[in-house]
Amino acid sequence: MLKNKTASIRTGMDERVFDILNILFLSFLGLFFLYPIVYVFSASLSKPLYVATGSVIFFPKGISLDSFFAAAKLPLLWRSYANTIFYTAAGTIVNMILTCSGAYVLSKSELKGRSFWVLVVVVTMWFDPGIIPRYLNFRDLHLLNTYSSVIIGFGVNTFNLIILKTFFESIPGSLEESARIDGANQWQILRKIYLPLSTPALVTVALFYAVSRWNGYFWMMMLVTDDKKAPLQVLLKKLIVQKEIPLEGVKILDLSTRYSQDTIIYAVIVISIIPVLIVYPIVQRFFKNGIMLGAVKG
Amino acid sequence: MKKGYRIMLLVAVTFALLFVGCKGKKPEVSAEKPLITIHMVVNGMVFDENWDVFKLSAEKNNVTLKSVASKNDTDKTQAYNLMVASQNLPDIISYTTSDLELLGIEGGVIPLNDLIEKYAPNIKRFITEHPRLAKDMYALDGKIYVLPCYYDYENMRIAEVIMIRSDWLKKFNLPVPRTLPEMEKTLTTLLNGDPNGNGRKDEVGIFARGNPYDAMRRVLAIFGARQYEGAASFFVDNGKISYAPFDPTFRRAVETAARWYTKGLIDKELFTRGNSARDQLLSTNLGVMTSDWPGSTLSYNQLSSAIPGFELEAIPPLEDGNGNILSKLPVRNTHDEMGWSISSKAKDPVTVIKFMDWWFSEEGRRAWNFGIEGKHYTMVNGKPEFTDFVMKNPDKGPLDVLRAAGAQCSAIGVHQDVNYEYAWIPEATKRAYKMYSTPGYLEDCIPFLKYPVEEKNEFNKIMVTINQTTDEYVQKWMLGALDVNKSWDAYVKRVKGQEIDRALEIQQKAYERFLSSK
Repeated sequence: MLKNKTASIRTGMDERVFDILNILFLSFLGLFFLYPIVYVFSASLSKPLYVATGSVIFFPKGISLDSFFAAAKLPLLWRSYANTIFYTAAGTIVNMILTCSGAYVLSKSELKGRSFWVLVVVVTMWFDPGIIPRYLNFRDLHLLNTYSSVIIGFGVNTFNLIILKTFFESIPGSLEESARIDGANQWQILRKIYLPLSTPALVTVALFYAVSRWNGYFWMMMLVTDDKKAPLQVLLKKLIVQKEIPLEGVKILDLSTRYSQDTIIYAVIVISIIPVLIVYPIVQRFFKNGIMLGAVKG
Repeated sequence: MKKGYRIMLLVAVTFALLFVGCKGKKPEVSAEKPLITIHMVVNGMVFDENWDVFKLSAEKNNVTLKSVASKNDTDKTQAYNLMVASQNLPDIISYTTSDLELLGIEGGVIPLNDLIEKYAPNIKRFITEHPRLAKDMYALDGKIYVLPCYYDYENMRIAEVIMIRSDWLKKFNLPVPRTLPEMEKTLTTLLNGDPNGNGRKDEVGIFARGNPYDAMRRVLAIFGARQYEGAASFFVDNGKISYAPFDPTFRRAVETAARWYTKGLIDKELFTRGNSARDQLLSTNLGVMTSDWPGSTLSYNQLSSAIPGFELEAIPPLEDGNGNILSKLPVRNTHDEMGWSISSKAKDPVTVIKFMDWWFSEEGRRAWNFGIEGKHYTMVNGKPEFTDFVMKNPDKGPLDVLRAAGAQCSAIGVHQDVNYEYAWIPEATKRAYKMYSTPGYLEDCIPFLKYPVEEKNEFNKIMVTINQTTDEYVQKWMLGALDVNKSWDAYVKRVKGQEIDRALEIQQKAYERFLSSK
C-alpha cells in the first residue's frame, strides 16, 4: 500500500517498469506455490485411475468424494486429528508463555550478565545436539511416549525468542519507568505495557509456532510411540511410507475403482490443510504488520 | 492484580494437566505366561501382537507377545537405529540379517548355537535337512546370530520373468520374439499398429516399476545386464569374482537399451513412474511388456473383465542368436535378507528360542505360510487350500490379506513353502514358473558372503560410492546424455578410482571362504 503512494508521487518510468515486472514475477511465483495445493485438491476429488495416469492436471476428473469417505474410515484418523488440534493449541500456549517470559527477561538491560545469557540461548541456534542424543535425553527424563515430551520439550524456538526480545527492546524505557513509579511490579509491566504494545509481534510469533506445531511430525514420530497419541501428520507419513514400499500387492485400477492409496493420501492432506487455510487469512492481518519486525531490527 | 493471578493460575493448571495427563499406563501382563517383547517393522507395518498368526503362536507356546517398536515409525531403518542407539533392546529383534550379525559380533544379540542344540529340535532338524540353507545361517565365527526368513530355495528360485501382452501378439499375428532383433520388430509393429485401438499412438513398450534405479535394473536385465546393486553386483566367472557392469554383456545391454529408449521402445517415463508403473500402464491398456514378479503381475489378467481380451503372458528370456540365453533376470537367493535374533537383554532366552523353534515346526510353518485354518485355509486332501476370504476378498489381493494376518511377514526366522504360492497364483503364473524352470533360463546369483567386520565396513563404503557412480552413468546413457562408447573408458576409470579392485579382492576372499566352509 505504501509503495503505491510513493509511486504516484514520483511517477518515474523505470519505477513503473520495475513495479510491473515485480508484479508479474511475484504472480508467477504465487502460481508456482499455489499449483501443488490446487493439484492436491483436484487429485483428492478425482477418480484414482485418472490420478494414476496423470490425466488430472488442473481440474478434478470424474469428481467423487469416495476418497474422503475412505479416508474418514481410516482407523485413528479422527483421533489423530484431535491430537493435532491438541498439540497445536496446548503447544502454542506453552510456547508463548515460555517465549514471552524468556524474551522479557533477556530484553532487560539490568539483567546481570545479560550478554552471557543471550549467548547461551543463541548458541542453540548454531549447534544442534543431533537426533540420537536428544532422543536419549528425552528417554532419561522419562518423557518418551508422553504428550508433554513434544509440548514442553520443544517449548522455545530460539529464533522466535530473539524476534520477541528485539521487539521488547524497542519499546521505550520511559513507559516502563512511569509504570514503575505508579507501583507496578515486573509481572504487571510485562502484562499491561509490553504485551499490549507488542500485539503484532506476538501474533507473528504465535503463528510461527502454531504452524510448526500443526505441521510437525518428525519428533512426534520419534518420541511418541503410541499411535493413539500421534497427530495427523504422523498418520500421513505412515500412509506415504507404506506406499513407497514395493510390495507384491495387486492394485487393479479401472474406472470402477473408487479410491486408491494415492487418492486417500491426497484426501488426508486436504483434510489436514483445510483448518490452516481457514485460519491463515484471518491472522494475516496482524501478520503483515508483524513480519517486518525481525527485518528492521534483526 | 486479580487478573494477573488468574493468568498465573491458568499457566500452572496447563502445566499440571500436561504432566498429569501423560502418565504412561503400564501394560497388564498375565502373571503366569512369560512375556516376549519384539521389535519388528516389516512391509511398512509395525509388528502387532494381534495379528492372527502371532496370536496363534502365542497361544501354542503359552507366551504373551508384545510389540515394543514405536507404532508411529514405519521406517524400519530409522526405527532400528533408534532402538539400538537407545539401548532399549527387547527380547527379539527383527531386522536385516547382515546388520543383526554385526550387532551379534558387537554383543547386542546372543549366539544361538547352544540354545538350538538344547531346546530347538525343529531348527536342528532344519539345519540337517537343508545344509545349503543352513550354511547361510552361520556368521564368520561359526555362530548363529540370526534366524533368516528362508525362501523355499530348493524348490523355487524364479523371481522375475518377462511378460508381454500376448493378446496383442495374436492380434498382429506376431510370433513370440526370441532375440533382440525379433523383439525390436515386434515392439515397433505393436507401437505403430495401435493395438489398443483407441486411435492414438499412446502405447508404451517396455516398462518397469520401482524407483528410477530399480526400474532401470529391471529393464536392463531383459537385455542381458546382471544385477548391479551392492554386494549383489558381482558374479562368478570360472571361480573368479567379477563386477557385473565390467562384463561385456552389460555394456551391450546398456547400448541396446539406450538405443531403444531413443527410439521410444522403452517407456519414456521409466524413471518417474515409481512403484505404480504396473497399475498405471496395465490398467489403462497401454503397457506392452515388462519384467517383474509373475505372481502379482499376472494377477492383472483380472483386468480382462474391464478390457476385453486382456491377456498378459510370460515369454522365455531372450536369446543372443547363437542359442545362448541373453537375458539375465534376477533370481531368489536362499533368504530374503531379513530375520530375527535374541537380544543380549533377553531375560529368558530359553523361552524365546522355544518360541522361535515353533515357527520351524510343521504347525508353525503352515501358519506362517497359509494363515489360520478355517479362516484363511482349509485342508483339502491333506493340502492347505485358501478360502474365499483370501482369494476373493473385495478389499485386498490374496497376499495382502495374508500379510494383514501376519502370515508371510518376511522378517522372522521361518521357511517359506512354495506351495503357499501355488495355492494363490493364477494359472498364467504357474505356466510362467514351468516355462522358467527350463535349465539355462536363469543364472544363479552370487551367494550371501560373510566378511570380517573391518572388511565388511570397507566393502560397504566402497560399494556405496560405486553403486552411485554406476547408477548415474547408466541413467545418463539411457537418457542419451552420454554416449556409451565414448564415455565407457571414463566410467571404468572412475569406478577403478573408487577402488573396485579392493572390493573385488574382499569379495574373492569371502567367496573362497564360502566355498571352503562346509
